[in-house]
Amino acid sequence: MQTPFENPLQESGRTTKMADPCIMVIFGATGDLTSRKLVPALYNLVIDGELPAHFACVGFARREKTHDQFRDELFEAINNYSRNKPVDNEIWDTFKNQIFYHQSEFDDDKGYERLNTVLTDLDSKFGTNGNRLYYLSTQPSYFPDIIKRLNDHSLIYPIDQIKNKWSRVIIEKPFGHDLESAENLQQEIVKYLDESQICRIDHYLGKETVQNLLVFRFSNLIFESIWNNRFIDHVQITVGEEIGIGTRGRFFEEAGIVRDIVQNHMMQLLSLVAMESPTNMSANAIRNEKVKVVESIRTLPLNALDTHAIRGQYGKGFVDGLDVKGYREEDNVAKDSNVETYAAFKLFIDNWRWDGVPFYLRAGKRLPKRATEITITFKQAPGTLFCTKEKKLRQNLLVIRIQPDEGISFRMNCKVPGMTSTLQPVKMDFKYGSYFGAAPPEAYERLICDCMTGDSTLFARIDEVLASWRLFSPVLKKWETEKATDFPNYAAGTWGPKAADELLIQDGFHWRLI
Amino acid sequence: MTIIEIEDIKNQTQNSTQSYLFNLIVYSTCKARTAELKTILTRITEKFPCRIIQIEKICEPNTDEIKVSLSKERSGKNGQITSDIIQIFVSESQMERVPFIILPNIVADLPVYLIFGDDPTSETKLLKNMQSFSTKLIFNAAWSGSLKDFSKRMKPFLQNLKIDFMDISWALLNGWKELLAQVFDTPLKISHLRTCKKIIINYAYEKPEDLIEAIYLTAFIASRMGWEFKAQEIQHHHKQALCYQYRGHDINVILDPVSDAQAKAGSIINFELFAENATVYKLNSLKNSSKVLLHISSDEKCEIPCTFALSDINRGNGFLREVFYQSPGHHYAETLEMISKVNFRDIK
Repeated sequence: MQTPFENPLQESGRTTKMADPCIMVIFGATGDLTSRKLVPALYNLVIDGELPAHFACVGFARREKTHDQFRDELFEAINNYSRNKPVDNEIWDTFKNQIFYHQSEFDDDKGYERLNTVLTDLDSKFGTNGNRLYYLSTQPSYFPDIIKRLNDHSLIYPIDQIKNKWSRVIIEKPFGHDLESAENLQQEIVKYLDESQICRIDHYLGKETVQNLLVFRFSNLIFESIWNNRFIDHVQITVGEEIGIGTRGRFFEEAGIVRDIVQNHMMQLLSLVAMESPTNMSANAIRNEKVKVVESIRTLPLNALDTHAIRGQYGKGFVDGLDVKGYREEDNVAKDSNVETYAAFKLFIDNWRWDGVPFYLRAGKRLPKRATEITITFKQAPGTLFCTKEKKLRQNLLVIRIQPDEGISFRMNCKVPGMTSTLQPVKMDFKYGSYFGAAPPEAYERLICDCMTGDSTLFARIDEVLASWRLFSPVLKKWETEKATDFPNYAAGTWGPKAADELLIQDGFHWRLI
Repeated sequence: MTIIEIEDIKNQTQNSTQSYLFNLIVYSTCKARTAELKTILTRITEKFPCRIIQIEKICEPNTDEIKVSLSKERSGKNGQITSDIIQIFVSESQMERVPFIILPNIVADLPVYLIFGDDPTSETKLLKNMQSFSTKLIFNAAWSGSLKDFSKRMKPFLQNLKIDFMDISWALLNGWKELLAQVFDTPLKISHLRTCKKIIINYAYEKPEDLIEAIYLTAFIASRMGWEFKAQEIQHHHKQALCYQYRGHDINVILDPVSDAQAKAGSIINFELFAENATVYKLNSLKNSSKVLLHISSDEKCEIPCTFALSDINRGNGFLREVFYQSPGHHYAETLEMISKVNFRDIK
C-alpha cells in the first residue's frame, strides 16, 4: 500500500497518522451496519479531525432512494448511534454534501458503469485523487461478484500497474462459512485483488483494549518473562453476552456462536495472548506471529470431542430478573434447531512456550452478563510455607477486561494484619475509565482510518482465517451431522451447560466467576 | 516554614486508594499568569486524575516564608475524577527549598510533567534542580520576553535539555498545521502555497503576545516551503507585514489582528492565500466553534465551501495528546530558526 505524495507540511514521527484523500463506497448501504456503525464512525472521525479533508462517501444499495433521503436516514442514525450526539449541524451541513447514494443491483453491470462515472466526477469535485475504499457490508455470498464487477469496470486498480492511486476492499465477517467456502472465496477474490488490498475486518481488533494486549505484553518485561508454561497454569477467554439473538434469528440459524464469535474474535484474542514477540511493529511481522499460534493449535479429537468441545443452547430463563424466552422460541428460529448459542473449547498450543497449558474458551448468548475477559491463571507458588493440605494458596490471576469496564487487574495474596498469618487475596486494579476519562474511539473508527492510511495490522490475513477454519470446520461438521439430544441444555441467565463446567473440573480447574 | 501542612498532606494521601495518571508541577513567578495557568490546570483535571504541585512566588518584598496548602478537586461526571492539589507559596529567598518540598510529595513511578510559567531559557536555578526528576518540560513561547531572543536562546537550551519538552503555543497550532496539510495535499496545491503572492492571517487580539500563534504558523509555512526572510514592516494597529522570497519571487504575509471577544486570544481566525491564476484559498474559523470553513476558487472554477473540524487541542484528550504525549519534531526547530531572523517588536 503506497502513499503517492510526501507532503512537506506533514511531520513524520507523530503518533497520529493522517488518512489519504479517498472516496469510500459502502455496498449494502441501507443495512444496519451502515447506520449503526459505519456512518457514525465516519462522523466521529470528522468531529475528531481524523477524516481526510478530501473525502466523499457513496452508499451503494438496491433500494430506490434520493441522495437527500439517504442523508436524512444517516442523520437519524448518527443522532441515535454516534458517541458524539446530538449531531453538530455545521459539521453535518458539510459532511452531508460529501455523502451520495447510488442505486443499483449488486449484479448489474450498468450500475457499476454509472458508479465509475460518479466516482470520477467526485474525484474532480472533492480532490480525492482516485483513491477508493470499498466496504462490502452485504451478505457474504455477494462478495465475489461485487469484487469481480469492480474489477471489470476498472474500479479496482492492479497494484503492479497503478502506483499513484490506491483501491482497497474491506470485507465484513464472516469470511466463508467453513474452510472450503473460505478457500473458494479467497480463490475468487485474489483473481482481482492483491492481499495488500484486502482488509478483512474483525472489529475486535479495533478495540482499544485488544490493541493494548500487544503493548501490555511487549512493553512490560515483567509479564513477558513469566508468560509461558513454566509459570502459567491455564488461560481462560470468555466472551459472554446477556442478550439473546434478538432479530438476528435467520442469521444465527445459519451461523451459530462458533462462526459468529469463536472462529474469528476469540481466535484473534487467543493469538494476541499467545503469540511470540514480532520482529517489528509492521502489519506483516505481527500477523506472521499471530498465524503461527493458530497453526500450532492441536487439532481437536473428533473421536473424543466431548472432552475438548462443548456446545449449548439456551432455554427459557431469567436475565436481569426478567423472563426471557428460549432460543427455539425466538423469531425465525426452527423449533427443533440444532444451532449452538454457547460453545466451550479446551485448546492446546503445541509449541515450546505453551506446551501443556490448556486454553479454555467459552462464548455464549444469554449468559448472566456481558463480559469479554482474558484470565491468565498462574501456577501455585512452590513450597508449603503458607498453605496446608486442606488449604491451598489462591493462585495469582491476571485479568484483562476487554469489555465492558476495560482494564487490567492482578490478584495476589496478602497477609491479613494481626497476630495470625492468615492470607487474603487482594486485587490491584487498573481501569481505563478511571485514568483516561474519555471514551476511546469506536473500533470501526480506528479500522476505517487504518484502511485509509494503508495500515493492515488490525485486519485478519487470509492464512490466519484459513488456519482458524481448519481448526473449527471439522467440529462444526460433526455437530451438524450429530444433532444435540440435550438442547436446550442451559437456562438463559446462567453460565452455560453443566458439561462446560465439567470440561474444566476434569482438569482440576473451574471457570472464573466473572 | 509550615511543616504541619506538609504532615497533613502525608496523612491525607497515605492509605487512600486513588487513581493518578501523572504528577504535574506548575511553576510561575508571574502573578499575572496565575489565571492562565489555572485555566490550563482545569483543562487537565476535568479529565484526568493527577497530583498537581503548584508553586507560586510570594511577590511581597522582604518576606521570608513558605506556605503549603492541600486541596482536592473533583470533576467529571458524578465527580469521579479526583485530583489533589498541593500549593506552595514561596518567597524568593526560600525558593531553593522548593525542590525539597516537592520531591517527597511526588506520586512515585508516574510521569512528572513540569509546566514552567516563565521563560525556561532565562531561569536557571529552580529549573536545573527540577529537571532531574521531571519527565517533560512544558513551556509557552508566549510567556517569554522577546520571541526573537527566545528562539535564538532556545537552540542551545534544547541542546542541553536532558528531558522531553513541548511549547504550548506550538502544540495549540497543531490543528491548523494538520488542516493545512490536508488542504494542500497535492503537488499542485503545494506549489500554489509555495509560490503564492500573498497570505493574510487574522488572529484574535487582546494583548501583544497574542501574535505568537500567527508568527508560528507563518514561520512554519515559510520553513516548510523553503522561503527566505526578506523584510518586515510593522503597520498600524499591531498589523505586521512580512516579506519572504522563493526563487526571486516575493511572498507577502500580513498578520492582521482582529478583535473577537468570542475567540480564544491568539487563535487563528482566518487564513487567506492568494496564488497564481486568481486561485484563492480561504479558511475561515466559524464563530464559537473549532470549525473552519474552506473555500477554494480560481479563474476556472469555484469549489463548494466545506466545513472542517479542527481537532480540539484546547482541552481534554486533545490537549493531553498534543502537549504531554507529542514531542516537537524538526519542524519546530526549523520554525524557531525562521523566527530568529525576524524582530517581532510587538511581543512584550
